[in-house]
Amino acid sequence: MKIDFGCYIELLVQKNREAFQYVYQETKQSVFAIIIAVVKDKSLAEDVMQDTYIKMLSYINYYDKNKNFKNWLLTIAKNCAIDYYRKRQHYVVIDTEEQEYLLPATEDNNDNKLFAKQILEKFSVSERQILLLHLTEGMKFKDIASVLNMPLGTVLTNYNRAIKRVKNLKEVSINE
Amino acid sequence: MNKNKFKNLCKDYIIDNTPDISSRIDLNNINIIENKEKAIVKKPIKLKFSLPLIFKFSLAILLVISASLLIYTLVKPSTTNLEVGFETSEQVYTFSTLSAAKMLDINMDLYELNLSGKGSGNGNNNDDNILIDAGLDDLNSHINVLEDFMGDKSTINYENLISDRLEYSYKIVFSANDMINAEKLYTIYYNIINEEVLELSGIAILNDIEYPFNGKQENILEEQKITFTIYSSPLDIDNYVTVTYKVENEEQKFAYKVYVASELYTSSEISLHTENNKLITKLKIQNSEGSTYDYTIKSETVNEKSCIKISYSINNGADNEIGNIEIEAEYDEVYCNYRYKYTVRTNGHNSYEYNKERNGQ
Repeated sequence: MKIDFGCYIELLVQKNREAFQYVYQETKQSVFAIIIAVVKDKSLAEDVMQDTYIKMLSYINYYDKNKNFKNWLLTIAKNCAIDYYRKRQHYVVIDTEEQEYLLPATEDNNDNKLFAKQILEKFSVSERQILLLHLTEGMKFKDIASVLNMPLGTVLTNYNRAIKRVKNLKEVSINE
Repeated sequence: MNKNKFKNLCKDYIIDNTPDISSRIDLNNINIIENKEKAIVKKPIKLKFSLPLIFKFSLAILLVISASLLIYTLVKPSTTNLEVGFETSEQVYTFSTLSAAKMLDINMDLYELNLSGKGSGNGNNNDDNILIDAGLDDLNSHINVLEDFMGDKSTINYENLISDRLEYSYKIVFSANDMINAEKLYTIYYNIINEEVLELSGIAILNDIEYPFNGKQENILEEQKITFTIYSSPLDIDNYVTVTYKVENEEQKFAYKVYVASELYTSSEISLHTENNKLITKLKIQNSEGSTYDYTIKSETVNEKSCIKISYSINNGADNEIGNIEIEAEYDEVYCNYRYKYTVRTNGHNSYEYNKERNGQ
């Protein structure tokens, strides 16, 4: 369901705690999804989430009310995640198609090891972002294209390629 | 792995692992930055008089029509406004690139629907076997492309602005009101690489997505045409649209070929001309099964409501069908957005109603 955040923007400018809590609760999963797809580590994702919401509030006056608020917030989240890794990698330029090879594999201590192994390791960053935003958050491909600044065709190509690979995951899980 | 199982795993992971960091954010310590908006310097449209012959030709037609209208107006004052096709080279570039980018966008959606086996369906409930049924999805993708260009001409504006991107010399902002009177705004940036043979390169921006394009003029047997190629992205050269522009029999013609995964997905031709001071658009679509769909499309305002009126003829090799279609944008309470309502009247049949996607919704 599409949520209208319009009436909360003025309240955010006034630093209203209730408005912030509402916006946070309605967006936190999508923000986490786009960040974890890049940083692949829950504790790092927490730091980047914090930076994302602080940046969103700091620049709330720059939000164009004619545009989709959630897309704007997710764009900030994506940029924060990439910036974070740029800094950590000592200015290594990250190519969104290739960055999975630059990111260190991390120990994921959550219970869902299948997810950690199969999603975080077997797909590229772009594919992870598209899969998580579309499958878990139900975002439309057009909105994902807008957030990732990719043409719709590229998003669809990546999604279709990833979904084909999902079918192969069956054998991996059975073998394990 | 089953897609649904995979989807549930992803959902569970996100729900179980999303942290709550809201308590870490101290709103009172956040410095909200003031936004000092920069005023956009607007430059009035300046016609380029060093236009290639192909545009001089269309400009000449415009001048003849304008003169005729002026004489007509002096003799018999009328409230009818002159409506013509595209008057300047900039308008041709804008229409070619934006319509092709929209066509690419919409056809990728249709391609994705076909891949996933969802299909949009026709949304009708008639049991008759009418030929137009099979052509409505293709027609609808073109109506989505054309809608912004078919409204009240007084709301359509092409502005040549100072380019605010260092890598491009020219910027054109296209604005128009659509059928529900909402303002649409699209931008193209481009460079003229070679003025002698007219070679262009640039980007079209739709909904914040950048579609790179290049254009080149060709002279074949004294016939001049410009072919634009619009790509899905700079890295994705497998998905693209070619649009070829030429003037033929006083009509401006745009021929489109949509390629998905480097294979020809669909092709069509749009012609524009004036008739009784009204812009008439003709659309010809040939599908892979050999059927030919010819549509004549015009925009009208009825009871202060915009609608698109179409007359059509279809030939599938064995049968012919002619009829009329009326399209309105209607608010859909279920989808919470505007969708197209098609009312089709075929000769010899009753009328049929269809609901179709508008703006990919």
